[in-house]
Amino acid sequence: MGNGKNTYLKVNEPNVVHETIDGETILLHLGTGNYYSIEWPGTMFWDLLAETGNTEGIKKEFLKTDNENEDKIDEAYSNFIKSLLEEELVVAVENEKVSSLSIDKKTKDEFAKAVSELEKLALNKYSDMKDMLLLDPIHDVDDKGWPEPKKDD
Amino acid sequence: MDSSAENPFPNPSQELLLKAALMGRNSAIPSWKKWRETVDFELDVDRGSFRLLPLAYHNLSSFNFSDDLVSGRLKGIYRQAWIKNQKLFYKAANVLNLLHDAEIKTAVLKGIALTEQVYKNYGIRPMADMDILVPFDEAHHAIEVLKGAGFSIESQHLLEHNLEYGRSIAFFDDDGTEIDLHWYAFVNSFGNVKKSDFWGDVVLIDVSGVKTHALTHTDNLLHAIVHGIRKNPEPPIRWIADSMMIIKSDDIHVDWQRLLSYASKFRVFLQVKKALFYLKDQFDAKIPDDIIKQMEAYEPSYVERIVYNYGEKVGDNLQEFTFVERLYSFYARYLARTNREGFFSVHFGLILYTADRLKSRLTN
Repeated sequence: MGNGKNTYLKVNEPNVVHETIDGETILLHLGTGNYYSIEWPGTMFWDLLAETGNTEGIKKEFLKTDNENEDKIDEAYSNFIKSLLEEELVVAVENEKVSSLSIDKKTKDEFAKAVSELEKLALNKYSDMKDMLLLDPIHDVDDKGWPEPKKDD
Repeated sequence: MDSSAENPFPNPSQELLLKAALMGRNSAIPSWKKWRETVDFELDVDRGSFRLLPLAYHNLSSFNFSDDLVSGRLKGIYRQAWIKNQKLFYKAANVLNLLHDAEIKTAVLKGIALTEQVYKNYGIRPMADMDILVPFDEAHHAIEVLKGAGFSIESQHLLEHNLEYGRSIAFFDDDGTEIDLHWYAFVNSFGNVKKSDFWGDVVLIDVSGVKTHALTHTDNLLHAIVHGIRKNPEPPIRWIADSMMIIKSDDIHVDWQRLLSYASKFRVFLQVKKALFYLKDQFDAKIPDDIIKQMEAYEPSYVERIVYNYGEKVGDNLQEFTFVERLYSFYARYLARTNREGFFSVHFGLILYTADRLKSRLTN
């Protein structure tokens, strides 16, 4: 995992394409065909990572949010990053110049909010893309919309 | 689906959805609410309307408007369109690379070009296929390259005919993805096409990391209108969204005089006139006054009127049941393609065209 001093994480482009819409990041690995979604607070960390790659810097700032829960925060954040690496959505790159990270007040507030919802810091994976794309997004899905299939009554 | 849904101009419910997808807040939100009252989402969404839903989602969300449908199934339709388009772009890059390796110049048309140049978002303009244009002189070579790479031609028996009188042929890959290989942007009066037309002004664009070309914004507008103003089993109303997105984009300049000049050259002035007047009346499209005056003064020829009426009433709805309807279709298709002038020359050309078609039918 890219936690060395001069290691940063970079989105695995051009194999991975991503977009954040309405508080949700959607990702597609074009090589494997797997589709992923990340919801808040993961979207915030994904956007910061995609922008700076500075995973250690982000973790350091996140840990400062709540000294009493450092272990929990460390575990949740590290697991999230581990899943991104395992799915090859990001790759570790050795670099002398890790992008500097400046955390504004809005992001600090988001960090504080995220501590109370660490269980949401996760990567959702959808690997049965072929079947999913066959789902009619009007009739075969639940109220959350594609790719969530309609539950049987 | 009611039969009017297949027309190139929208029915009232399609028009409401188009306004929800394209207009500013004060028109889009009431139009969306009215569309929901008018349409049963489970039953009444035709294919043309379906393809507008991601754009409606995007437009309504830009006003921070949401409801159960927008935040649920519309967002899901957007997600699915985004994924399908990303996969299509990825495949398109591979096809472009194949053609480039064979030193064939390429341009992308329709959805891929408009997504990159105009929509600038991979989720809001769903596509069913990829459209790649090569210079006419390269058509045979490009066909061989795609065949050699394992793509299969949908209608091999049409190939020779299409090379002589058509604009494209459809290939499929193993997954069923359609690749439309074009050698003309459209068939109208193709005898008038010079080598430098369209190609002389193409712009460089990047498709999934591969450099290719696209038509200018003005030529894309012409292409969207000519391709769209034809009746089709899949309602072709997305031409309105494509055209409006070009016309209303702040960073796009439309060369209106060139648009009219090409429309006249390829005998599609009537299509352009009807389309632009409709967009001006219903979607407040900003079209310069002198262009409006030129269009008002224009008197379409006999050939143009037949071709326009055929496109609007029959078009790509291949339901030619009677002998007379088949004759009408044959005649209108010939008129669309010929560049002959004058009643006698046009009909002399018809005799030659008929003889050629008969000969081809007999030899095949």
